[in-house]
Formats: sequence, structure tokens, C-alpha cells
Amino acid sequence: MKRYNIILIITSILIAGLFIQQKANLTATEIIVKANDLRYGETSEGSMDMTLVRPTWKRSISMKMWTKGTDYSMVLITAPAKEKGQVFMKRKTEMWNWIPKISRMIKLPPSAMSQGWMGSDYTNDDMMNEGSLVKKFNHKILRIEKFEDMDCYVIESVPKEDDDVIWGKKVSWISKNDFFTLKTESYDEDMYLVKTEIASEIKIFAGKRLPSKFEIIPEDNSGNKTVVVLREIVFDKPINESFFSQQNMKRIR
Amino acid sequence: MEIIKLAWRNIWRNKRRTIITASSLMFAVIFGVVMRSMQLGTYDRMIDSAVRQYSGFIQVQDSSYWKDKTIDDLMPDSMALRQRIAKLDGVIDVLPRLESFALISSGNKTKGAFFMGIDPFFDDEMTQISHKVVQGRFIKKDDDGVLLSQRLAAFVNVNVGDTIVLLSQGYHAVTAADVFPVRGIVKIPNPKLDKSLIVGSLKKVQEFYGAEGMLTSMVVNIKSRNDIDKVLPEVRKIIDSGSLVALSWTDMNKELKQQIESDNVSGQIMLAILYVVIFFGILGTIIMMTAERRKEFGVMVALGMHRYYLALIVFVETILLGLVGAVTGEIVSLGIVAYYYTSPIKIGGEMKDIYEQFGLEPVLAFSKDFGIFMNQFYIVLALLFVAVLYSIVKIFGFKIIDALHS
Repeated sequence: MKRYNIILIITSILIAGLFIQQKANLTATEIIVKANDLRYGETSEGSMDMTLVRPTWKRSISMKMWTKGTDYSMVLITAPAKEKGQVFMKRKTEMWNWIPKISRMIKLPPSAMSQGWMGSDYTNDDMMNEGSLVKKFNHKILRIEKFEDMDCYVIESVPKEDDDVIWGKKVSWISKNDFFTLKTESYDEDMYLVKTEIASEIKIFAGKRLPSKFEIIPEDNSGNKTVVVLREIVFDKPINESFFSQQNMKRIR
Repeated sequence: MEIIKLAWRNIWRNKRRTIITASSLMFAVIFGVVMRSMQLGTYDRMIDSAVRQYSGFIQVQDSSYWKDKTIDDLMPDSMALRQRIAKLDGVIDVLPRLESFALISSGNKTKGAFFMGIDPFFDDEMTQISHKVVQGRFIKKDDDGVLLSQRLAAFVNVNVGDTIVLLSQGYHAVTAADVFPVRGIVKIPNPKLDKSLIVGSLKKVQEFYGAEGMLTSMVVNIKSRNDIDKVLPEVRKIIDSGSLVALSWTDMNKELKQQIESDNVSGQIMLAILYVVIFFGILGTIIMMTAERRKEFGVMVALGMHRYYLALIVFVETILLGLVGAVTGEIVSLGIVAYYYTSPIKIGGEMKDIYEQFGLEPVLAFSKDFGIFMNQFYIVLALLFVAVLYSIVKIFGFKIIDALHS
């Protein structure tokens, strides 16, 4: 009987230990999921400004963005006047572009996914497929290091086999306390660094602390970068799936 | 005078020999002139369709435009600068242009095309594009509509009055998208352009690309291609050398220039081979003549004629012979060239496809440049001079006894 008790105690300690262990050390995938949930929530609705910075000129675009999970997103351009009313929509794997001036709905071909979105350093893939980091990659914690005075997990994400991902790998710096994705490096298939995304200026949006400024710096064109500044964002406001439809693209304001 | 009379009688003593020699010279001139005229005429035509009807002989551009030709490297339009260049000697006018690529779409047909914004009046002065309108009408200044090249219109299946959709990336990465009514269809001789050209008014194209008041180039329309070396340095003096450059057509059409140069060299080699053959033909008749008249020469010298006088007569004879042959050759070739100048040879069949693949008009054109005629004339006479040296050497060298006995 005594012996049985001892076994029971040891087992409970082991199980408890295991539990505590897991509580303290999240797996890489869990960290990525948490960071993604923080950034997009169940649904999100926000507005932002994007500035293209080039060696000799810069230009700003304002837009509204709606997302639901990782499958649905919609972007409406609100300024400048020449591009106002243009809508981009992602439904699962399809991406559509509505241009009111020519009344045309354009389906972006898979080959266009690696091209710049609206002439920026964001690719169409970045803009519309952000959530796919969760689903389409395998993750691994490389190390823990300080970035901008915050302890960060450094996570390497390698695409799963047979998945249509344009990257060779991504390396993310995700803060330990808040799960902010502070820096992401994207590498091509030959493992050359293509671009770096840096998030900064943490602000409070609808009670949630978030980085509000995102910079994309491409590797091959020095002097080029794209800066996105979040003006406002609300999370988890119910949005119906039918919101992300071609009919709605033409109606949305 | 006496000598010429004597020489003239001499050459007609043996009619058959004279006619054979003269006609060989005649054919040499005809071949030379026709071949050269066709080559140079075709080059002129190539330059004309690629340069005069499109890019112009001199262009002023933003200094970084030529390297990548992106819509982001534009130059500001300036009426003052245009007027200053237009006032230069040898310059007719300056054409403002804005050109870039666009996707053209109509129904379910979509194709990449080349969209060019022009000032209809100034452009037409140089390219005469309004004469190439085969359907509909030419565009007006600030016209809302566009002209389509014939083969492009056929590909996207549109007619005059239909509407096309254009889509592109504009100045500073702005989205360029709009609909345009088709005002007219133009037939462009250059096959590459005929498959891809859309022409609109400058103002509308600037609006489309979001580049109001901007140009890709100012095309300098000059009076003659030969004035380039004179006009180009003057243009360079006027423009702000920091941000703008002036390019000549040879800078902009390096391929065409090289193509012409290499073809020209091969043409000259062909011609040189032709001359070698002709030279030996002439030399043959002269050797024959000298041998036939050996006894005659011997008798003349024996009777007391000076050898140099005899040589002079033979020399004059040869010149007269040459003139007869070359002049008839010139007259015949003038007729041939004049005919083909007005109605150039159109190439058909497989050769046509090959020409079009190289972006060339499938036509063999002729040049009526006076220099071509004169050059062939001089060359044939020069060959004759060299050949006649043989008989002159013989005249001074023969022994009278041997000659009389032959």
C-alpha cells in the first residue's frame, strides 16, 4: 500500500511537472498562433496609411481593411482620389481586385502573388495571405534574445512540403511578454535575405496594446522602403462570411 | 581631236569585239548600281520606319530614363525649352511625348501594348501618322479617344467606336486604369509596332498615368538626317545637363545601326567579288585585243609612228570603249531604279515571316541617290585604266621584227 502511494505521488509530481513545464515553455507553433491572434483577432476592422519611400520620391495611400480568420480579408483604398474605391479581396486561396473606374473585377493569377502590392514593397502574398504563416509553415524556436529592449523568441518558420509558398523561410522575433511580432526576415528559396519587416511604436487600440508602425525594407533596392501606420483597429466585431463577396466589393465604402 | 577621231574609228573596226567589251562593262555598271541602290534604299526604308516614323532622330529625356525606361523617370514638360530647341537651325519642331506599357483589354481578349501620348499636330508633321489612318479618324488635341494599330485592333477584336480598357502602373506606382473609345485604326509599316501601338492625346495619357505635366521625351524633328551632327551639340548646349540628356537615333537604335552596318559590309564584299570577276573579263578582252593587233602595231611603229603616240591612241580607244559601256549601263540602270523606286519589291511567303520576326518591313526598296550612279561609273573606269596598262606596257616593249613576223 505504501509503495502504491509513493508511485502515485511520483506520478502526480511528474504529471504536474510536465504541466508546469508546458505552461512555461510554449511550443514555437503556439507562439506564432498567439502572435497572429493578437494581430488579427477573430475578426478585425481597421484603417491605415501606407507610404512608399523611394530614393527620389514618396507617396501615401490610405485604406480600410477587414479580416476574418486567416481565410478572408478585404482592403478598400480611400485615398488618393485617383485610386479611391479600388478593392482587394482574398477568399481562401483566391484574390480579386475591383477597379471601379473600368468596372472590372480582376482575378489575380498565382504568378502575381510575389509582385508588389500597389507598387509597394509588400507583395500581394504579404497583403492578403499573412495568416498563412500559421498554417503553411513548420516552426522551430532558434533562441531567445533581446530586440528593442524586449525579450524575444526567435522562431524559424520553414514552409511545409507541397505548399504553394513563395518563401524559403521566415525568421520572426516575437516578444516574450506581449507576443508582438517585432521583426520578420523573409528569405527566398536560395536562402538569401529578401526583406525585413520591423514593427514599432506600441499604442493602445480598443484596449489592446499593439505595434502601430510597420516598415518593410527590401534587401536589393537600397533607399526603398514601405511604411504602414495603423490609425485605428477594432477586433472581434462580428463580420459575416458573406461580407467577403464580389457583390460587396462593388458596394463597400 | 584628231586622236579621238582616230580612236573612235579604230574601235569600230572590229564591231564584235567592241560590243562584247562594252556590254560587259554595261552589265558591270547595271549590277553595281542596282545592287547598291537596293541595299542603300532598304537601309533608308528601315531607318525611316524605325526612326522618322517613330522615335525621331534626336530625343531629349530625363538622364535616368534610357537605362530602365520606367514611368518613374520622367522629365517635366516645358514650353520654354521646347521653343528654344525649335528655334535652332535645322530643327522643324519639338514633339512632346509620354509613352509606357499598358494592358489592353476588350471582351475576354487581353494583350500587352505600348501606349503613346502625343500632340497630334506636332507628331503628324514628322510621322505623318494621320495618313496611315485606315478606318475612323485621326485624334484631335486633348482627344478623349485613342488610335489602335491595325494588327492590335484585329487581335483584341475592336472596331472604330468600340471602347477598350487600359490597365497599367502609372507615375510613382499609382494604379492606371481607364476606358477609352477607339477613334481610328492606323496601319503602321513597322510590324512590331503594328502589333502593339496605341496612340492617345498627350493630355489624356498624362492623366491616365497620373503624370500631369510630365513627359518621357521631347522628340526633335529635324530637316535632314545629315544635320544631326550639327543640331545635336546645339541641343546639348541648351538643355540642363544635370537632369536631361539628348540622344541621337544611333544611341537609341543600336541594334538597327549594327544590323545595317554588318549588312552593308557583306554587300560591299559581294560587290568587290563582282568587280574582281569583271576586272578579269576586261583584262581578258584587252589582252586579246593587244595580241590580235600585234602585227598592226608593228607595222605602225615600223612606218615611223612614235610608240607613245600609239599608246595614247590605244588609251583613248579604251576610254571611249569604257564610256560607251558605262553610259549605256547608267541609262539602263537608271530606268530599273526609277521603276523600283516608285514601286518597291514586296517580299512574300516565308521570307516575309522572317523579315517580320526581325521587326522589319518585308520590302526591298531602292535608293535614287546620285552618288551610287557616279561611284559605279568611276569604279568601272578605274578598272579599265588598270587593265589598259597591260597593252601600254606591251606597246613600249615589243620588238618590231617579232611583231612583223607574227
